[in-house]
Amino acid sequence: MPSREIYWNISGQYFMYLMILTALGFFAHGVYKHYKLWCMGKKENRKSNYIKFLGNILSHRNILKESLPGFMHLLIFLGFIILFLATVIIGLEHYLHLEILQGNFYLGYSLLTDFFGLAIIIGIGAAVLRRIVKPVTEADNKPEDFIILVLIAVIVITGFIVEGLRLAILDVNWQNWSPVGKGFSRMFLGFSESAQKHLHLLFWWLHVFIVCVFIALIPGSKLFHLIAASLNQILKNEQSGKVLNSLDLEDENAESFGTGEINDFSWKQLLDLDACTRCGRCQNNCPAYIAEKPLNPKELTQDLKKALFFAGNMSNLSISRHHFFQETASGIEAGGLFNYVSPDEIWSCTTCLACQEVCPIGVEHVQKIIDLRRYMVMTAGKFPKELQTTFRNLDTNGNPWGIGWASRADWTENINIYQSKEPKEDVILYWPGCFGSYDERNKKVTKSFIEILNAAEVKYKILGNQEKCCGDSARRLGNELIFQMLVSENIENIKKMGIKKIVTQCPHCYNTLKNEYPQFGGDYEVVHHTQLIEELIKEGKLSLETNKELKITFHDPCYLGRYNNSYVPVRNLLTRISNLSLLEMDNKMADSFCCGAGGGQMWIEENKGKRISSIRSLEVEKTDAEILCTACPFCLTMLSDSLEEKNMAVLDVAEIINGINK
Amino acid sequence: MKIIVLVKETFDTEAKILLESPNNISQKDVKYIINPYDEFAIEEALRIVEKFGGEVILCSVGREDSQITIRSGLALGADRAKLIVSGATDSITVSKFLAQSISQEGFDLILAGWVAIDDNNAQVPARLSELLQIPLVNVVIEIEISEDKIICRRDSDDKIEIVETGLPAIIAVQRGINEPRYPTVKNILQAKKKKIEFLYMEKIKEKVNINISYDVIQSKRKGLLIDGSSPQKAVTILVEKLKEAKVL
Repeated sequence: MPSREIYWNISGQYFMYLMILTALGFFAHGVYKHYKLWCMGKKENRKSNYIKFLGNILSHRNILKESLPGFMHLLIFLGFIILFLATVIIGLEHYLHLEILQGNFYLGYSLLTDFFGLAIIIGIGAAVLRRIVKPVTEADNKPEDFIILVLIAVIVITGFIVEGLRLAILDVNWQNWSPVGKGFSRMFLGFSESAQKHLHLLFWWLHVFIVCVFIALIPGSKLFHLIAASLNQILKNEQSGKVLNSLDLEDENAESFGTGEINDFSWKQLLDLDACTRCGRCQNNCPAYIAEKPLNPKELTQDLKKALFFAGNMSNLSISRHHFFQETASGIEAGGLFNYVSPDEIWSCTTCLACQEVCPIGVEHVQKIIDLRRYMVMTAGKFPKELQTTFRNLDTNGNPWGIGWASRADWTENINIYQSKEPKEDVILYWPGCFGSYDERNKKVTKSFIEILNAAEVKYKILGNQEKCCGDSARRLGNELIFQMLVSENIENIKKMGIKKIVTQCPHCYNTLKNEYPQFGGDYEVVHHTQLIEELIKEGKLSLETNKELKITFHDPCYLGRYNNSYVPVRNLLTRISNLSLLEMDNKMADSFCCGAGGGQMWIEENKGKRISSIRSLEVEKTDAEILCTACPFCLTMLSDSLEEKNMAVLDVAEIINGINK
Repeated sequence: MKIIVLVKETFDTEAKILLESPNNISQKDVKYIINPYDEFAIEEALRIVEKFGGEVILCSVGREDSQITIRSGLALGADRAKLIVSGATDSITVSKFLAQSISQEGFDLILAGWVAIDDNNAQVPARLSELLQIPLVNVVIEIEISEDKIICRRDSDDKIEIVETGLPAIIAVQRGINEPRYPTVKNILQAKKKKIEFLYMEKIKEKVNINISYDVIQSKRKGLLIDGSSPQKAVTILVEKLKEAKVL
């Protein structure tokens, strides 16, 4: 019966246990050092989600978003899992004296392990090739990348050689069930049996030795992602970046606000840094990086990781101590994070969340960037100087332009506002926001939306001059103080009105009111106008009949899409319009490309690199659309500017619907 | 160095000015700020003290509630404040109040904005220099200070004047002298604990009889509002209109 003798031709296997124990010792010590690194961080509560993690890792759904490297990783990953399980089975058979590896099961086992061993070799081959072929900036090759790949290849190849030699000597008649091993056995056919046995012994020990090196190297190399990246995904907060942490600004004992030193980060944020494998997906999808601005989210994470390792007095294969000396030799005092990260980087982020969307291991970039901005604004008082005006404007007049707060409701002149007197529970608060109240272009959107509300006989009210900026820009620019001030004023005024439901036309107001106001006791049902209009259409309250042929493409605003997963309502309502063809761009929905204005960029001079909105406009032009439809005043402003010279109308959803319903 | 900075609380630049009878400006729902020119003076004082050491004291005449506005000046880094509580808005009375409390306090240097954005009077620094018998350098855009003298560059229509004077003196600063800092949260928290001394000065030797009344000027010129949503179209319309008016 087909089977295999364990420890065939091997003696002194007790020495093997000694080697493995040594390797595990190195491993445990290394893991403990990483654990101590994470412990430098502040407290943070996190929930574990094992099921989601298992689903993600087994399906490889995040890693496969980049198909080729994803598939390559899948081959190596599955190979490791199968070969690990195969080793466990051998262990069970040996220690529990079971007879598992017998007959057909053994044949299947043999075929499967050969197949997945080969999968690893193919995966490694592809990985090496990819690293050689890829452009330098993308591959970001470091010696460790090749060392690790070669190490894995050598483990699998020596395994196959050992198998091949065993097959060559024993010459069993089920060799076809070990096709790769059989192939390797051909190399040794001309050797004498004693030479074959000696070689078998040699390669067996070599195989064991390299496996031990591999285990010992895990904590000191990128292989540590086996542990850190897994933990990081288990502990991932899906809302991170979308809902920013709140700060206690009344704490008179606080020495600083925001993150200026590495231990100002939470332990999870430090784990985040430790887990990053430099895969570069964030870099490839970051609008700031693509537009040649100073920010590269991968470099940022890696630079903060250097700061972490320096603070923890640790080094690994890619971050050497030598590196630290260079850093400190440049004359800047070591320790402060701004020795590792330049302010220009953190002020280039649009908080579009594309980085977090594609990160396969759940690194949370945006909260960190905001934490760094908070330090700059609230502790150091250093930030792009144009923001001083924005902050003052928000402070005194509750809008970023500083137009008198008492003019906020001026848009209502000559507009028929319903101002419902019905019982309060049924009434919706319409929140036009700063753009909808003050900006000439966006006031037209406000007017259209009011006409829609009137036509559909919706009961609504407005806050008028009592409304203030929702605070989104202030918060994302790191000015938590102004943000909280605006929030408390707004919450108080909404409370006076006794209203439970709010509709906004700005996805930034929508996200802030819906997801961040609850931190301060403002719990409302908040809908975006695209969602409300979809409801009204479903209820048959608006007519979508038109003779005009409309060719439309839709630009997903980050704060509606990636932030709040609202991709469908707007498409539902657009496709219900008769004679409308929706021509999608390549980067749509979760892959949508930022307009460049989020995260407070609207108020910062865009004087570095290319204009992000121009890059998006090129995509718009590639479609045959005649109308660019969006659902955000920021996007509307940016894309109208970029498409000014083109024969393209840039409209808000409300304007399109209202135009047809008239 | 002990520096006094004169600070005036003014209406926010964007505030809607409404009259309530009789001839009074309505203060209802008005946002207040520190006169922006006084902020330049505070910033300059802070920079001097950061370099030479000393103390920055804000001094103001205004309503009791203007302490809220004064505190935002303390948040910038000034050490303490004196608030002379009075409804007086004429520069004669205000200067007398200030002179009285400042001479009691003692000082090496007085800094002030050269003008306040509400009444545009630009009188207090000059009156104060007369009352305190110290030199005034007005509309200053650069200061170079050493132990006993101060060299100022001042904007004078078509030329720059360089003026040297001894201390104590009063310097009235102009926009461009510096860029005021933004208060950090730590400073804002600290400012809550800083001392504001309230002074009530009803007894002034010479009575001043001044009545101020306000009126809204009815503009005879017609304004023209061009739709600004498309800058290119707006410029075309503007150029046409300017040609029509024979300006171009």
